[in-house]
Amino acid sequence: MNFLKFLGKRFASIVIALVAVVTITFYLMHAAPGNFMEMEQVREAKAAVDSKGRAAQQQYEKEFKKRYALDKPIYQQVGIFLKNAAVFKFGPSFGNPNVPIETLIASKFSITLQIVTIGLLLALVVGVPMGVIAALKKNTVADYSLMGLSLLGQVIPSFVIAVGLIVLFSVVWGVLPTSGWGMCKHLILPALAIGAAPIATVARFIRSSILETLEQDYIRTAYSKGLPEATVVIGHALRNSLIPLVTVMGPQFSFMLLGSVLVEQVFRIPGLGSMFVSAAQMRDYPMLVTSTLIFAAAIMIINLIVDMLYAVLDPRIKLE
Amino acid sequence: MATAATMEKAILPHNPEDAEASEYGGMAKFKKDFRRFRRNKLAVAGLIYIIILFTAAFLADYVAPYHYSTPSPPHALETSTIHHWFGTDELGRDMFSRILYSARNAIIVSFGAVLIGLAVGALVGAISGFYGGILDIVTMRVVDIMFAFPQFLLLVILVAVMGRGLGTMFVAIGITSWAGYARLVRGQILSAKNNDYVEAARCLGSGNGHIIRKYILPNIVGPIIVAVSFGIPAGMMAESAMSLIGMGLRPPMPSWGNLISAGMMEMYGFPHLVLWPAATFGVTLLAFTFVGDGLREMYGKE
Amino acid sequence: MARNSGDAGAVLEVEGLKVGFRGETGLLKAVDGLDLRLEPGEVLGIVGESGSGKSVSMLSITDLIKKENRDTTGTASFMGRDLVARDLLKMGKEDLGKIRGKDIGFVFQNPMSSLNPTMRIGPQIAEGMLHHGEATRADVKEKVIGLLDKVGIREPAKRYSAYPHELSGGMRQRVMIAMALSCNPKLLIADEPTTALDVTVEKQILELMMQMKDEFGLSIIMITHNLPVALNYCDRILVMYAGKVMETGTALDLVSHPGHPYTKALFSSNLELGKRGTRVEPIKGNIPPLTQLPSGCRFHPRCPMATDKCRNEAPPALPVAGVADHLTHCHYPL
Repeated sequence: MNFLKFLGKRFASIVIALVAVVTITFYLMHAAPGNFMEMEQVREAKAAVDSKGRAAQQQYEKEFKKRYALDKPIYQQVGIFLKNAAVFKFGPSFGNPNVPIETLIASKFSITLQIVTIGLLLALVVGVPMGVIAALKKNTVADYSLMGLSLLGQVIPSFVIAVGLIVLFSVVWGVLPTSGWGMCKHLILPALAIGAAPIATVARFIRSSILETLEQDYIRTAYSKGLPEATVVIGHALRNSLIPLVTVMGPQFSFMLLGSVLVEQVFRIPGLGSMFVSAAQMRDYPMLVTSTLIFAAAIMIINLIVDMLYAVLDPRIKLE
Repeated sequence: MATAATMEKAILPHNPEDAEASEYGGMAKFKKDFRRFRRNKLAVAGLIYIIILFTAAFLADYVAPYHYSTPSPPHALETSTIHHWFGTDELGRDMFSRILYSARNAIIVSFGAVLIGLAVGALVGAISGFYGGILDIVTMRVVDIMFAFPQFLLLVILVAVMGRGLGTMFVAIGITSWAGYARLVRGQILSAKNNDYVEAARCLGSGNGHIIRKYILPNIVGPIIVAVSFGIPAGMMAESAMSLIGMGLRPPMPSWGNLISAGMMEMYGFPHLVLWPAATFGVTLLAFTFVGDGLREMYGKE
Repeated sequence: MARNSGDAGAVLEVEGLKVGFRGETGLLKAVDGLDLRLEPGEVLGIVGESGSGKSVSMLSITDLIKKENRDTTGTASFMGRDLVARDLLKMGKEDLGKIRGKDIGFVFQNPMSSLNPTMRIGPQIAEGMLHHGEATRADVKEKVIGLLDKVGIREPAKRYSAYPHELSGGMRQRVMIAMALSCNPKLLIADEPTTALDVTVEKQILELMMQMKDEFGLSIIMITHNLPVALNYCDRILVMYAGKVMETGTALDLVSHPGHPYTKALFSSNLELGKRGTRVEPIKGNIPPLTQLPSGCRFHPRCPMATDKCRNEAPPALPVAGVADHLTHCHYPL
């Protein structure tokens, strides 16, 4: 019963937060200078109508506003949007009135998710061994170079790393493409760029976690049983260090999700991040609100999953 | 005449470090803490780099060999030469100067943003933490909502609303960061408030103002300075990220983000256009990180 | 005192053991010349205050203390299950690993922190057995449950899947004992096994250890600072102070005729051991830090009978009251 109560409370707070996010976004958008009419896509569509004279223009405007509910007061617009959002219907966008946003989002979000997931895998597959080696070879050249590399990965922003990777792999070595999407090779550099910081964070975390764990009494007990070093380090120390790692992965996922906005720009990948940016630039409000909502929701849900996972993995924790 | 202050001095146990601090003001304690900072070689190196960068950036008009927008077509797209240490771009503008001016803009934006974020956040956090009650509860809900909104997305939306430019940039970044400072300051004030010293001082009749000045302020200064030292590079990153996606400073105003995204267009033939800005940006961020770590060590013992 | 049939040699024979730690302030001599001999089926107690070197000695010869900055000299001849005596100090990591857990079992002080909190206790016991080949995957669970039953844990089948934090302190220590005995060792080294336990549980655990000794034919080295416990459960006792041995003898010898001022002082300072009507007197002075050890007899600064000879010369081992096995390291045996 406790578990359901916990889940219920979290869901409630997530919903409240998302409502707040959507409301804030709506109010901000309407505070923006400039008329919808002046935006490019709308202008193009309008141009066709313009030639037909003033009356036709005004008629077009009225219909436009009605279609997107822009003639209603803001709080009502928020209400309408949320009601539809609950059933995953986000309506048409300004730029593409014929395609409902939910269709667009599905494909774009999956692209972003692919990159982020690979980044996450890299963080684990590369970061954990890095951390283990650094811990075992503490204070040697290996340790210092691995940790130095991690520092760079954490401090240098993902888009700068992306640029560096492109210069190295595309310009100098010419093995990977600079941009585009569709095949496996397009995945590698973006995933690496966005995963660099998480790899570094995981490596540092595992290193310090293992060093701390190795000081514990039960490690001595393990050795006293005659177990070899590899078993003790991996079976006992690493195993106990992996559990708190879960709590680190949550923020890393959020970080990568948001970082994808920039990395997708650099690699010209048509993911959710690019969609958000173009929506902001072109003032495509329905698209803007929806993509913000998806990002915020994804982040909050992942955090919830991480918390639950942690409780499952550590036998000492009970969910409140 | 026995005032609360003199009674405090008589009754409360003396911490010799605090005595030093109160006798000679903050200076003696600061000098002692700074020694801890000096031990961290990387932090010192970072600090030196930052000081040099600052000076050069502020005196950019005198230091830079060229103005950032002076075109010089005959010299377009050269790599490092005596006249142009970092080469020139496609319009013949000197890269070194452009990078220097980018640094200046980055500093202006990040400092402005931190100032705004800190001012708003500290005020909100302080009032909320000090007075508590319903005010505190409501304020913390607002802060929670701010945290629910992904910071970078909010920034993009704000800039879309407020328009591009130097001024709007630091206001917008400030707005996205105040919540962090609010939480930090509130937390510090709460723990300082519950300090035994404060309780004792109250029993002796000290007023709020006195308590704030003597017990609370000195304790919160440290973490705030550390937060600021990390907030500045964060501001720089935010600004350059915005410029990269074309929503930052308008050209010809140079920004690290601008230079990098422009440089990427000519990457195949002229990688120096993207490498120099990227490298200098990276080094600057590293310097701030080292200094931040050093400051953390310095104030960490509190 | 049960003896393993056919064993003539000592289980453990340590000679001239010195363990030093190289620190910034110089060499810390944690153990400075320890000799001991453990016969089969015997319970040997090593008694001393903290810092006396009692734990360091036993943990060093089995390589359970970090090797960095540790200098260990002397010999520690151990006779394993194969009845061959080997010098532990000359053995490599791998060989020692074969002995630990299999020929020598360990019980440590704090059972809560000495058990892996994220692993169920059954598998923790099984781990060693599988590694040393005492059981196969097929029968290990059954054997572990049998062990748990033997150490007095009720509902052993259920407890197999329990986590350490679900058990009480006494039960956890029983688990540790089960773990130590799982591969049928010849020697059990117990480092302060009951210090972290309640007094009522303490007696149960000590009785359990004695019971196991008889059942498994073990020899036990019990390290403790609790003199009454040592006197009640150990056959022979070694008294250590500041890295050196002060007195060795049977429990009976020590009680009836303590031969060293330090031992005598330990008796007088102990509530349980003092004679009725006499005052309890704490020992004057403090244990010297390992970096500033006194010359000559280590105890002389705190000894009421100290003379110049004590200050200058380290005392040899002298028999007490003519009993050859009862030795004291004092110039003036009582």
